[in-house]
Amino acid sequence: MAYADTSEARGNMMHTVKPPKPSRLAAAIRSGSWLSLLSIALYFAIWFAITRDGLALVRPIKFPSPAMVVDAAFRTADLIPGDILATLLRVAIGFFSGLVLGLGLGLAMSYNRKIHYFFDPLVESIRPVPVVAMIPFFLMWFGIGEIGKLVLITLGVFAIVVVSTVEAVRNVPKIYGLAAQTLGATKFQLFRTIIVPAIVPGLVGPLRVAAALSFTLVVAAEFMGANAGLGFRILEARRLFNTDVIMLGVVLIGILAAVVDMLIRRAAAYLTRWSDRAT
Amino acid sequence: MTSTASPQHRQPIIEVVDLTVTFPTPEGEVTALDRVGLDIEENEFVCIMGPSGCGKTTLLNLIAGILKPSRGHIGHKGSPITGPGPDRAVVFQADAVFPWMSVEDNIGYSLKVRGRPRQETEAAVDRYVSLVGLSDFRKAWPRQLSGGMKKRVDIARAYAADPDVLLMDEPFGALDIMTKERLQEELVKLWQLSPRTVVFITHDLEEALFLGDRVILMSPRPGRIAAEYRPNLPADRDMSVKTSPEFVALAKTLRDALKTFH
Repeated sequence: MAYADTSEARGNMMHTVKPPKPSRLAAAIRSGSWLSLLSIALYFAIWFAITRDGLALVRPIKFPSPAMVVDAAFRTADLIPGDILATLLRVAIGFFSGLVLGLGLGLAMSYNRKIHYFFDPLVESIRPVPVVAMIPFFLMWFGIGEIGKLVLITLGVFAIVVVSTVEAVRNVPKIYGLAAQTLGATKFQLFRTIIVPAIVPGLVGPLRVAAALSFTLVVAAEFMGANAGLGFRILEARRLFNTDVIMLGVVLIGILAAVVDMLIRRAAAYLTRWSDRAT
Repeated sequence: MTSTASPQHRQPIIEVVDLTVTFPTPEGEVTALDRVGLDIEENEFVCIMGPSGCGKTTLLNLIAGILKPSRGHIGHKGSPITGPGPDRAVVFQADAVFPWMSVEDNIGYSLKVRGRPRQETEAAVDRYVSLVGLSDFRKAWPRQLSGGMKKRVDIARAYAADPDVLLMDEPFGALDIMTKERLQEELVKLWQLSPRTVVFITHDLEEALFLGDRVILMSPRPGRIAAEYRPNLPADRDMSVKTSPEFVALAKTLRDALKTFH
């Protein structure tokens, strides 16, 4: 009876004795994480197999082979860093603006009923409209400069984040708010110390979706016209039927999106280290 | 053993006068509490027990200021209760330990939000983390603790708020019997070391008799005060007292009183 309580908890403590750490390779084999590498290898194998490098089942102009893409990368090597930088900057600025605005308005709407009643119709009318449908207006309003591109991404991210924030606040168990109030927290302190940390796990999914959307929108934005960026490069290559460069652009965007997603997951894992979310 | 409160000369810390609470429901108005009157003295450990649905949690929520009475008066140190506050900290039945804060941040929470100096907060955390036996777990996340340990954090957090009245709503209701009885013993010890006015809600009659200076029995809906008991157990009691003839006899009296409700 005396030890049942604590021994169980000690077993859960992170700094208790652990079995010797197995090598990364052994761990990867045991956990099955090597299957991710296998699936990537399979994609490449199939790509090889059906294109010119392998069985040549499709015409190179319609579907360039891996070798052609590598060749395109060497041919356009001097342009790639600038394109990556231009695209990443637009994504970063648009994503963070949308995140800050969405979080801010979502929290404000949850904090005050009147703010909620005022902004809810606006948010609900913007949300179901695909922002890409607004591109013609964006061109008229902002021209083909940076502002229009950033507003497009910001708006897309904002629509996801604001709704997710309001819903995440609703999902915070009432008991935490009650406990904080009976311990003397003001409403503002309640938001800062209870609501904000409690909604983080619920926002991880929406933020990953919003980041992926940012890449879709940045390409759409660069299609409207630009002088650098991966989307712009794809559009340029299309004019000249350089499908190998198009495919290169697609691969690079995919890699960037995957890296950004991984960074978000890393940050989320740190911010939610207190929760028993599955890792 | 049944007795009414002896005449008191001091002002009660909590004063409940002719309190009635009704709730609207689809089937019409339900009376949860019906003209309840109760005085709670300073540093008294009062257990309120009764069958489920008797309104005991409603009574606690009224003292906490989470609910408002339909009729009657409820006062704290002579002034009416208008809302929740740290002078009446609550330990809920459900786990209310903040999972995103370490054990020590949970315990120091009330002092921190009220802007107390850091040394004072740290001193209170030191004191209560050791009083509930969690000194080795100060930096732990709540998810790393067992149910019983989380309850200790919750109690320490409420204690550290330094409330006039500590309100406990079936805090041990969800625990296994071993953990529950150990926490009962620990709570008695804690209360001896750090005397406090406690209002403790329970439906477990042995728990009520073991913990309380005074046990108030409530009748089923509409909730009224049916009887009062004063167990008079030794201050340094442990679980063995539950098998003493006096305890057994009192438990039987209480059980018989409960039976008359059915």
